[in-house]
Amino acid sequence: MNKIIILAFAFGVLFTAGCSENFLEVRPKNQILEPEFVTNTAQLQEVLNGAYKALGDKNAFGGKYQIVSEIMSDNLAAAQINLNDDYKTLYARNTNLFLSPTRDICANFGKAIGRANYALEKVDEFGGAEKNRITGEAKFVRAIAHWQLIRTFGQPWGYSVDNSHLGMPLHTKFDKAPINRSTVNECYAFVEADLKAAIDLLPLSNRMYASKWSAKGALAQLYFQQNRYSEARVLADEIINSGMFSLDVNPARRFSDTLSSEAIFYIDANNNANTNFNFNGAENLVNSYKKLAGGTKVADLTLVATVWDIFEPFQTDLRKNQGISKEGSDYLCTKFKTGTNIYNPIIHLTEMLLISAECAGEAGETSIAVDRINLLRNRAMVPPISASTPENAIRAVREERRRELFAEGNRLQDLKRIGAATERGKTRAPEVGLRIRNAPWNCPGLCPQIPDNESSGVTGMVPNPEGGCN
Amino acid sequence: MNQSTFTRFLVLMVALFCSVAAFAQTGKITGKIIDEKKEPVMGATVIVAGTTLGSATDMDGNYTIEGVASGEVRVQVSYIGYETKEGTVKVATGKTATLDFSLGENKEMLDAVIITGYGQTQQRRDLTGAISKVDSKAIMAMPTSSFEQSLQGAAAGLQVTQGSGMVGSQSVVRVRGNSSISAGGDPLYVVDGIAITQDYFISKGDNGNTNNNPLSTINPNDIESVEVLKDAAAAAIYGSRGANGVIIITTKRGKKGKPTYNFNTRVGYGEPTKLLKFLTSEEYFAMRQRGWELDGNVGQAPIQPTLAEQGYSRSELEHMNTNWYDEVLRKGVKQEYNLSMRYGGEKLSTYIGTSYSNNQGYVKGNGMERVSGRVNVDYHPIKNLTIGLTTSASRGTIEKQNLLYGGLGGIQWGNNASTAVYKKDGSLYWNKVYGNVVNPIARQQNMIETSRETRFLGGLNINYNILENLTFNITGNYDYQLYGDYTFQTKEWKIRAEDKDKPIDQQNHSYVGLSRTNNYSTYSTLNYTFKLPANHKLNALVGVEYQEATRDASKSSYRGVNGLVYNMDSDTTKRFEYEKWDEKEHYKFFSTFLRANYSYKDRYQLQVTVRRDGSSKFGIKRQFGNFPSVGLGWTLSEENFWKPLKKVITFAKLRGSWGLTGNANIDPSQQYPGFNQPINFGNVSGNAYGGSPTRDYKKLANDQLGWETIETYDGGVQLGFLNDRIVLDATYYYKLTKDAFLQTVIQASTGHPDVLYQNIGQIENKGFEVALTSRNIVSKNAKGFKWTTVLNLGNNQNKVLDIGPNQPDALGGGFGDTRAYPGFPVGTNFLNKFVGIDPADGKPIYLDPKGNQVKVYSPNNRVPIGGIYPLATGGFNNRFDWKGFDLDVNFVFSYLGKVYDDAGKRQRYPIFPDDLLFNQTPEVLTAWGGEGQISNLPRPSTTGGPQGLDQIWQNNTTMFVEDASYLRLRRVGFGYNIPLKTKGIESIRISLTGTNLWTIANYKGWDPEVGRERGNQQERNIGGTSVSFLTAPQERTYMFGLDINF
Repeated sequence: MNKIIILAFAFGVLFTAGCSENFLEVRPKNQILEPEFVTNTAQLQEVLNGAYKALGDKNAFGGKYQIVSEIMSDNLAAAQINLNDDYKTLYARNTNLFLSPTRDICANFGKAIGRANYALEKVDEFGGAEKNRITGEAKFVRAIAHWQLIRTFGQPWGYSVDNSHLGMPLHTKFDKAPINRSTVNECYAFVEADLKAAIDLLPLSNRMYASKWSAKGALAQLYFQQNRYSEARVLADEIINSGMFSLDVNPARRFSDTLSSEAIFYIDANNNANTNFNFNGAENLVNSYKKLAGGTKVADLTLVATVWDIFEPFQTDLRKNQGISKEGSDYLCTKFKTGTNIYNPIIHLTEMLLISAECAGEAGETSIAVDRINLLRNRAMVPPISASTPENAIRAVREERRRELFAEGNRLQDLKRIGAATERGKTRAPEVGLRIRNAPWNCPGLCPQIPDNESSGVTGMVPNPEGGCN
Repeated sequence: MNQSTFTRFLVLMVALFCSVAAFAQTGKITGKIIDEKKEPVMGATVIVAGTTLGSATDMDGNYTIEGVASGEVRVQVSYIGYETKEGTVKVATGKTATLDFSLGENKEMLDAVIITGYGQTQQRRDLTGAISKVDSKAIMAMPTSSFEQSLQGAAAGLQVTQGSGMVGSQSVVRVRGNSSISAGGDPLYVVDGIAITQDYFISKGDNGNTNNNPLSTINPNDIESVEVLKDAAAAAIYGSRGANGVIIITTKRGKKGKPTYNFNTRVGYGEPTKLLKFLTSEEYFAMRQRGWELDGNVGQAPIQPTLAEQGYSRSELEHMNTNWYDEVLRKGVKQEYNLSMRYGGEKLSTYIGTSYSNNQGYVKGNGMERVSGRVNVDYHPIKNLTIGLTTSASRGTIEKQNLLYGGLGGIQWGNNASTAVYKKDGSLYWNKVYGNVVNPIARQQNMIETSRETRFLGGLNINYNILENLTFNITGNYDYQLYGDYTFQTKEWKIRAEDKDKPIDQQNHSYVGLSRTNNYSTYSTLNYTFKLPANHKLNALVGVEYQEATRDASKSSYRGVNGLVYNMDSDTTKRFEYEKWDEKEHYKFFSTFLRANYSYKDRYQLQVTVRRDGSSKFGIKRQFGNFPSVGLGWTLSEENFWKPLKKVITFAKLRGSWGLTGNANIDPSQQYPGFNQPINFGNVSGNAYGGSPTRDYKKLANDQLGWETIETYDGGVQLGFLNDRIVLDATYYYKLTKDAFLQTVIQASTGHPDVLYQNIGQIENKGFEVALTSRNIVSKNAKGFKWTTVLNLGNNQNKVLDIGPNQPDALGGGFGDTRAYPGFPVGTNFLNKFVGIDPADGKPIYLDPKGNQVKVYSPNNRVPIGGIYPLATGGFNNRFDWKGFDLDVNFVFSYLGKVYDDAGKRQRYPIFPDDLLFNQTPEVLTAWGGEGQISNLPRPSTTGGPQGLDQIWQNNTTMFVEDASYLRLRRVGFGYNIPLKTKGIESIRISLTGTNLWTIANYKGWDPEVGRERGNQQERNIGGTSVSFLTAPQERTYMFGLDINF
């Protein structure tokens, strides 16, 4: 009896101790593990789809990116009353590393970058016949996500003579290892290379995904920001002349529940009755500008009176009549149609016309510049303008730009671009001493601090200087 | 030692046992052991001193030891709870000598039997490791809703911080400081051999919810003793789970004798230990007006929208003076009833206990009800075999009040004296702050939040004495926990609090969230006592253990119901959301262990422990770990050279130990990568774009992830003066967490999941402990006057040495800017240094890290502020006995700690914004009032700007760091044992107990003893005990007790 027990015990020890390592492996349920994550083209496409989703998230192009940009510029009003603490801080341009809007922007554009990089990593193996398209799309997503981060957290192109000032980290591969910031010069070269590659690889039409035109449009934006007018103009004109896109009859239709005919690249809206899934491409824009029912405030965000005033003296201007609503002393922005499924064009024909027009002006082609913006004025039901000099034409285009694009997240970068171009002698229409809501265009606080989710796991990341704008 | 060598070693050990055969000769000793009541003592250990010969007494208290060498021998008898006795007897060859003993109850501290785990015990004098024992008396003396609260101050080096005065809150328990950051820092609780499930975050403590307390369903009345294993020598037997200390809970079992019954009850009430004074309506309006004017405005300050909404006129608001304390507080009635039976017969002994308690908190709508039952049976069918069955079942139901928006929290967060429960028109005022309803009465009337935990703990244990010196034990255990959070919300709530506008949502709703844990374990041990020549004692224990636990969860939602839904399947027609049971957590442990105790001449002790643990929690590349320890003891007082000292210092011992233990308190799936499942249309929403599925990275993999290794050195001295009238234990220790489990922040723009867990940190803890017991006055007469003093004192110095590539903000504790920062203790505050108020403009002055004065608050100027942990914590107890009366006076203290009052930046700061009605203390009346005025508070304002604040919540400065020292009269117990002549009743005792009767503290907030509710382990470690935020003060209770034995 005793020996049996001892033997049984000894056997038990041997048996259990001798088990293979698998004996102790418990894989978490309902979770795909690494090797099974991507095994075919369809799954690779799903990864890429995730990259677009991050790009269009309400905390990125779904609105937060544009809102942060507008808050720091001069289009929004009554910020002290209607915004939360974090937005107030950005409005005051006294930023710090704990702001949730900047964290969100970093995280979501970051996810777009990461997912695009993952797709690029796996495309050779699983891309199959779709390899070129997937590569092109991934590079496009990676490029524009990087660019928004570079523009938000770094001073603009032209801030320093050689653009050796800091941009953001450049993630060229799918890797969790942290990277320090590259110079703006390196950043723009990287984005440009990606977009050029995307132009070569992308198809001419690609539904809610990036097409060749999307990449050309993005590159036009990039060149324009770099004051590379002729190159920007070539790309913008290609798009304008492609016949693929046409101006909406009504400028207020750009952000609505039907897709605008001028959308070159857009954030999708989806309201498929067969699924439980809706996607609002402009969720945060819609919710932040919409009129609130009751309560102590009209809307989270309202416009300054100046935006109303720039449409004077033409009361008929559709862009004003449909884009701004005066409620007592507040100016509500109504250009983002309320709803739960709003398409959100990020690159569109209107902007291409504005780029083309301004570039024509810089090239001294006054009449072409004027013709381009008169197309937009005509649509807005206001009389055409004329200009006597390229300089006048350029200024007119810039005014038209604000009328067309207010609240869409362009204003801050436009002002910085003009400020930098003036500083570097790159424009025929310099704006000496340009100020953005009483702050110099290049003051430190106009670049928010790198948020803690970007910096706190990295050794030696150079923070932005803070304040200095007031 | 790798796996296979270790296995071979074990087999060798087993083989060794088989081959041992040592036969001596000669005489035999028999005898009977009885106790003071002349009852036989069963199971007492009788050994022949200096030999390995020994035996246990049978049911009648008889023992027989054979093979005793002839001559005069010393015989020692010991049994748990009794004093150890020694006698001498002459043994003649071939004859039987008789030696009887009468054991008194244990009085000698150093003879106390200490449970060391896996069925083993040691006398306190033989310990080489650091173990503290708390007996049932100390646990029962303290009326608490959860037993761990009564451990406060009861053991040196054990720091128990009670969560708050809210009933059902969990305590933060730390043995010798915080040695972890992102991994769990709580000790391992072993209840009757079961490493119990102790998930503190089934109910997450963020957003004002109360965390669940996994210990609260254990009935304190069932506990026989609690042992705290503190150093590596003691805890290495628990290997990868021993590093934070082990708390062994042993429940009561049958006692030899006829059935005895005990009924005890306690009734009484509780109230807050402190009430803060708040501004009156008049003061509030005057202060806001001052702020308004100093901001440069003229005229009357507008009435804040939330005040105006009530419909009262300005003058009514200015004199409203709602007494919110009357609205939310009460005297919480407490009652507890325990009925138990103990019995020990020929073959069967039993303990049966049942209990009911209903513990109302002092906040209306907060309380806990517990029902529990226990049956412990020991069956002794044949001589060498004992079968033990341990079972307990209990259910605890907690009624909750939200800590931020309900009860005491609600009135501070959003209700000053000018708010009311009802509007002028008589309707309920749905006062909303930042989107949350903060009128506690509106919440109570429209929402019920309850949690219910059902717990079963059971085990079957078979103990077989193969040889007289070889015992085989096999144990199987089961631990079941079903935890549910149940919420009911009225239609009104949906409309008014949640702004639901669709008719389908405008109905009563009920929500159920369930979590179910099944935790199985089994272990077998062989315990062998070697037969060695005189003066040598060697005992070895080897064992194998296997444990597997799974946690499943399920959720469901109902609408159109009239109250809480408890049964998920009861009303499926009203159920509109259902997440079926699904596995959330699953882990396994496989372990082998060995412990050997050797002693020579009772002077020198050596203990060697090795445990090898493998677990599914650990990455595939680091699945097994070895945890060795060595303990040494030298009893100086047994040496000849001590003789001159022996009259005064009766006992003296030095002990020291070294060892490695582990902490495996980590999420079992953290080593695996995770991805979001592609969307399953019609079921899950959110994971799609453009109508097509997406596939995303969710979690990073780390196949190297594993336990934290903690290396501990421990050295101590144990002294007994004047025949152990005074016993002193002093210990110094050094603990180094070598590969602390840390959450590393992954750079956002890489697009990877936010964090990666890695074993890359280093944390150091060192300190000393003193435990002193002094029987100041003793009496030979049982009814004579006796006075005993117990002092427990612990000092721990904690320092983070390394946090890998993390920057300070990567490792935070939730709110209040607490951090892990190298060179500072875990949970150090990271703050702007506040210098004072500039008398010229009333702005606060801060120091930037270079020491320059600045007038704007900036997160960039934060610096670590150390010294959060107390220099000393402990307890001081005096007990007096006289003629059946006893008086117990127990103090606890914490000296020179710091607490960060995170609510101070609103509650004690003169800021009166439009959107927040914080209840402020009269301290704000002293705010700066004009040029040249010296003040400690800045100028009042209705915005943050004039005070240099862009974000009014981002105002974490040293202004709110406060001394957390306190001395608290934790308990006064007065009891009387009524003398009885009746046959039926053995004893009746009545008692009066008061807790938290008196506190000395400098702290300006509620209570310096705080444990903020938390969302995860890291927050519990970093911000668990040094940050308060409206934390409800501890409870003062007055209880009457009646205890009858029959």
